[in-house]
Amino acid sequence: MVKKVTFFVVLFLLGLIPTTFSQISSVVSEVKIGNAKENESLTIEARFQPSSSVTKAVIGYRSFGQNEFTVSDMMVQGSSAFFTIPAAEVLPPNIEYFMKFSMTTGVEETYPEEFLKSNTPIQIQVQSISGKDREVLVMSPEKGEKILPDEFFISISLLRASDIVNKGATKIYLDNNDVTNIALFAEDIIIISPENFQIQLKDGLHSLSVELYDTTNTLYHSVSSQFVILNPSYALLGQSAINYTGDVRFESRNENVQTVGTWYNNLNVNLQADYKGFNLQSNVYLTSEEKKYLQPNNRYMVNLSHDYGAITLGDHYPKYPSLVLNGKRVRGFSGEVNLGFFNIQTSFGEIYRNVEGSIIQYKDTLGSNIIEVNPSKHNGNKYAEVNPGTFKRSLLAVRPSFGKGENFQFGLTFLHVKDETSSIELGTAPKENLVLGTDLMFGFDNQNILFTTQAAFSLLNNDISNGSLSDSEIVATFGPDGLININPDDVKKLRDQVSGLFTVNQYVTPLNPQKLPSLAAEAAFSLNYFDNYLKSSYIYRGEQYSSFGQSYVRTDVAGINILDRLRLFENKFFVSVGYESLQDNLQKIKRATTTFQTLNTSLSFYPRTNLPSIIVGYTRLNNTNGLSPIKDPLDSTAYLSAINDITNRISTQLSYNFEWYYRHSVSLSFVNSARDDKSHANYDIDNSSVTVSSGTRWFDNLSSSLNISMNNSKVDTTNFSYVSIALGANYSMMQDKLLLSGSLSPSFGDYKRTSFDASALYYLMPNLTVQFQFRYLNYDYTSTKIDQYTNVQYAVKTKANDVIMGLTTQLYLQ
Amino acid sequence: MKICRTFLFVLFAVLLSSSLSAQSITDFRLEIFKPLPELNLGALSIANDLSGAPRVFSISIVPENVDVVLEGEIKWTDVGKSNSVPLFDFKTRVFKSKAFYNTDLGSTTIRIARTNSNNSVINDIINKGKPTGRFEFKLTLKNPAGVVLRTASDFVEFINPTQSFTILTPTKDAEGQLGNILVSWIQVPGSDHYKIKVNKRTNSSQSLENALASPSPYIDFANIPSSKTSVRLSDLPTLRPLQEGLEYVVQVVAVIKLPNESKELPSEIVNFRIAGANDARDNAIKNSLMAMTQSLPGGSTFASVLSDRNLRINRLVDENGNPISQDQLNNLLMYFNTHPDRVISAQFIYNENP
Amino acid sequence: MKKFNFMVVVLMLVAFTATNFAGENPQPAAPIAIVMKIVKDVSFKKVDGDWSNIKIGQALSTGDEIKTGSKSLALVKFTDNSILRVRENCSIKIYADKNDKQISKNTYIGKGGVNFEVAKQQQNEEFQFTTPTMVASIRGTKGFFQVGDEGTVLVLEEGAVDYKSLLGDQIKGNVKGGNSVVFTNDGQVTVSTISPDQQKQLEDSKKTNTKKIIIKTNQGDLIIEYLEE
Repeated sequence: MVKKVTFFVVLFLLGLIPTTFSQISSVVSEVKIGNAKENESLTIEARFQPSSSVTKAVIGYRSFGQNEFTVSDMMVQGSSAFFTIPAAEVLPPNIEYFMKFSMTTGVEETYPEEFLKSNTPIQIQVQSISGKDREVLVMSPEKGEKILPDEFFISISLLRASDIVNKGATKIYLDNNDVTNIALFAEDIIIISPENFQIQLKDGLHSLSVELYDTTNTLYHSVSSQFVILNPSYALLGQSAINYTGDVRFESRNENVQTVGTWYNNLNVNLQADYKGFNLQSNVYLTSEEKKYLQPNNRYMVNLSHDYGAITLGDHYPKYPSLVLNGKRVRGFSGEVNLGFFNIQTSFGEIYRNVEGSIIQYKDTLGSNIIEVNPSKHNGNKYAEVNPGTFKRSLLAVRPSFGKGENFQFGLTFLHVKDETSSIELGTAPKENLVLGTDLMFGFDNQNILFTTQAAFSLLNNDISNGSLSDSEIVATFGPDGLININPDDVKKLRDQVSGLFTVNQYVTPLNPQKLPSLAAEAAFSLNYFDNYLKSSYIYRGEQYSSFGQSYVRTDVAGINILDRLRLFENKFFVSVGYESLQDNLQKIKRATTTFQTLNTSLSFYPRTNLPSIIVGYTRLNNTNGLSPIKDPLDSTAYLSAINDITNRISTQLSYNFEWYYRHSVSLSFVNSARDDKSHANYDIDNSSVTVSSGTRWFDNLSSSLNISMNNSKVDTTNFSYVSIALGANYSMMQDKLLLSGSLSPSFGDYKRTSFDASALYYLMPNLTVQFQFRYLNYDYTSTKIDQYTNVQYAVKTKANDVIMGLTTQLYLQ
Repeated sequence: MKICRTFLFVLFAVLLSSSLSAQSITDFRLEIFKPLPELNLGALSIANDLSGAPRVFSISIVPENVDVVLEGEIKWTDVGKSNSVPLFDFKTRVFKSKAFYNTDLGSTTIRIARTNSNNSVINDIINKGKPTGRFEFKLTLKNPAGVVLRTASDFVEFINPTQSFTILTPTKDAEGQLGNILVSWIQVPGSDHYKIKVNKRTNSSQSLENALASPSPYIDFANIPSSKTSVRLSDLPTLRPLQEGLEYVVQVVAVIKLPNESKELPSEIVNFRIAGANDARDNAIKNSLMAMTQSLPGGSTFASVLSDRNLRINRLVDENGNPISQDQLNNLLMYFNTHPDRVISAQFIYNENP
Repeated sequence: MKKFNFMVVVLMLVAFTATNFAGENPQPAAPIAIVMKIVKDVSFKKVDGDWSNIKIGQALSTGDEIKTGSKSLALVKFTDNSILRVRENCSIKIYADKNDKQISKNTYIGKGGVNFEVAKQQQNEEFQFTTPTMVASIRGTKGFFQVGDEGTVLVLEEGAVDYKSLLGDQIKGNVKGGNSVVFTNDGQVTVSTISPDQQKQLEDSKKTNTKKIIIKTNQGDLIIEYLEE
């Protein structure tokens, strides 16, 4: 009896395993089919040989007794094709099928291979329905369901199971593996929740089987079903449940520009992972452009963050109040703790690495770019003219703040940046910078009302090579025996008070801190209601404000900026008006104060019906300092310093989609900018271009574009006009796995140039691409060159052929 | 404050102090090395610190080795004022005539006998942070007996070039044709010449500063004469060819020649895009998306993403990675416009960039 | 009047629960349904618990509540294979009484829309829906409930439903597939054939598949997730 049961179970289990066929085929490596049961849908998966490139798959099937095959498209995904035969078609005793595949080469193959000759399909046996089947309900995954790995869980209802079934003895098999031990039994329901299910299911067809046992522990009944796990590479994009993602990109490019060939190779690896509220991000970028004599171009970064804090190591861009530290690459460490009521943020590391300078020649005396050198290292020479190197520049920033930043935050920022004088030998004027800042924000109604303000004060020392003044230097310079008769003790006291924090010597700016030349401040107030965003701000940037945590900050200006963006007619119209008025000469050290006025307006219309969309923009820049070369022709300063300059820029763009035999997109744009320069240089400009571009989609996989642009400009008294045409096409093949594009663009007139571009992008896998790019340029134009010594302009005819080739591969990991 | 006053005091003490003795002087000249658009107070403050002291002016006395005494007076005219006020005067001890620079003043060979300064005026100048306005130098050369031999004078007016220097065209986010990108800027009075640098911006999440600083710039031209305030990029030598359809950044730097260094005043960095081949198609898709996403939460984020002219559309796919044709997309977008409730979410995930 | 509505409903539900559990020892409630799918913002609450986010595969027992946010959706499957598609801005509470293999269910819909596909009920089983204005007893059919401030609309696709208005004259009746019933706050009951608008609403309420368009750009991916057409 036992043997009989065992035999039965083995037989049964064999029946559960999705049947795998492996007929000889050059296309199909295997076919997986679930357990075929009467009136239950049946999913078939055909797996392809690695080398085959199938663009289309169809299946033909017929139930017992039917003469004709029902032919349907299969879903091709990655290296498999799927089809689910509807339940009504699955009838005992069998169902027959064949498959047909189209290759990228145009060849068609069938499965089984001899089907076309013999017309003999493959037969699948169909089991008759059993009354006991209704006692088990597989609630999830449903039969034939196609699901993503992270949506997968198992639930089985035994509500209707017979009284003689011992529900607790039920066994569950997933792909023939017993997974009963991770199942949760709750009366009529058996659940295997996603948390308990740690195995990563491969994409493709899977089977689920449930065995019921009676109270005597004898197999009572079993049911099985199939489901398909989808490849998540696209589907998962952007969902919050991502555990890890990454991409690897490698690019190799050769640019042959005016006979000089340069290779550019770079590798970029990004990885990101989430685990229990922690987020890990890392980036490595390696490039052939990394040179010891330049600032680093390679990048290395790892960041671990959580709601309450974060740490970052490597190359990163710490974000502090924008006037103090923002956008500057720091190679080092940043950390932050965010408790809400109190937060602290700190960063330290280097912003420039040390790059040694080089000696041009030795000299006897000091002078410009001439520095003292150590005679023992330089054959007894005391001075040398050098190409100065770069000192290692180190940064420390700390910002404690109070409040979450949703409704309120107040922060204080300290920034200290200093060149390490000993980091290189051949350098001039190492510098030191100290910035103290404060910031405050109030936000109400979800920040629809927002007030922000920040201020910062800076100290800059332009040369710390000799450190702070020594006692003897102070005594020698100041006091009765020095040139300046003030109390040297006062100077010493000041020096000692700030020693360790900042170097005090004659190169410190500002010298007049009470006039606030190194203060920078700004305040902004914004309202966002009724589809209208209004922001007004005031800025003040002292003439000597300087923060080494900033790459660029415009100084010596103060003024207002108002911006209003309005959305109208259910967000179809956007109107935007911005006005800025700034003035320089805050410290009144210039003869004339320049007023910079900018008016920026734009109107956009994005209809939701088939009408053209329109964008119109107008910008007016008006800069004047009240001096006039005409009024004061004999006052050389006034003559040369006069600024009186108006630039008007108008731009219009119309885009329209329409159908006329094929689908077309047309875009028309017009841009004119005219500058009226009333300074002594009288550098007037009138520059216009009209561009018509059109795109046509001939078929789903073929589109073309044609752009024509006419350009006309007049600078000073010189006219320049040309026409350029660009003709391009995009073609996709092999079910969009291969994307080809090419364009040819000649220009005629004063600007002569022809370019040819070609690119092929191939999806080796949905997440792996290879792209080849080729570019050829031929240009022949007259350019204006300037003699380096005499500053005299002269014209040169230039002929050049440039060739650029590149290969890029990119892999996304998910 | 006392220190500050000291700096300026020393500055002018150093600038002007000298003495000569009698004989027939055939030539006596004062030359301030111009242009001298601005001067850092600290750079000239201490006579004995040669490493930082530049040569700002020269005095030449011919013939040499004659005993002379030099007296000098500096008058200052503040910006916007027309009358000058006495600022400083001095007298040297007797010294042997020769040609010398300001850096030789106060040295062992040329000693200063007395100085006299107008402290309230010096305070005014220090309060401004930098020498400003017009400084007139009047020198009198006497023999040891006090007889006037010669006089010389010169002046310098500190322009103090603006720190606010803006590019007029291209305007931020502007789009232009490859052969016709004209960069123009406000002139910087006092500048010696301009430099220009153009580099590629790989995507809109890259800061303009990082884009400009990335290696291998496309244009890096250092010699535009100060008389020009505009240049067409196609007229400049390119290190790498600019390409249609991509976004670039440009910065102009005004170079100010100072006595011992070149000071660089950078403009703000401006981004612009060169029109490309697939613009019509991309604009059509972007505009449809713009219309559709505005009604969604976070619509303004999409507006900023989609209005970015550098955004190029590479591929349209569905949740399984299967391609969607542009027609299908258009139909879907039309459907969403009439059934905004069907849209569950829309989000933009930026590519990581180095 | 509204207060009265509320009291009636509470009393009914208390009565339902009391009768169902009379004579039994209190036990941890057995799960009767599973959350099969969630879209966006769906939260649930156990009888004595707080609101928390729900995950797919969550088992639901009697007394559990579910609510959905804007553009959100939950798909609930009962152990008898009955399905509820809980549409956006909706709140429901499920009750069940199990007696051997029979299980009687009552779903209270506070507001919002619910599409139902009730599997054929066995003898002595029923599937009830209760709203502030009506109670409906279903033995195996498909349809859609929309509960708003104005009352309840039942759109019945097929099968038959016994209903009773809870307000006014407490009208009782029976309606067959292809019809809709409107229960107003003043107790009026109007039966009519399904209008084209209702038909569309019914079709829309069945849709639970989400799809995506991914627009791959040089700067990143724009992903639009939407409910299938």
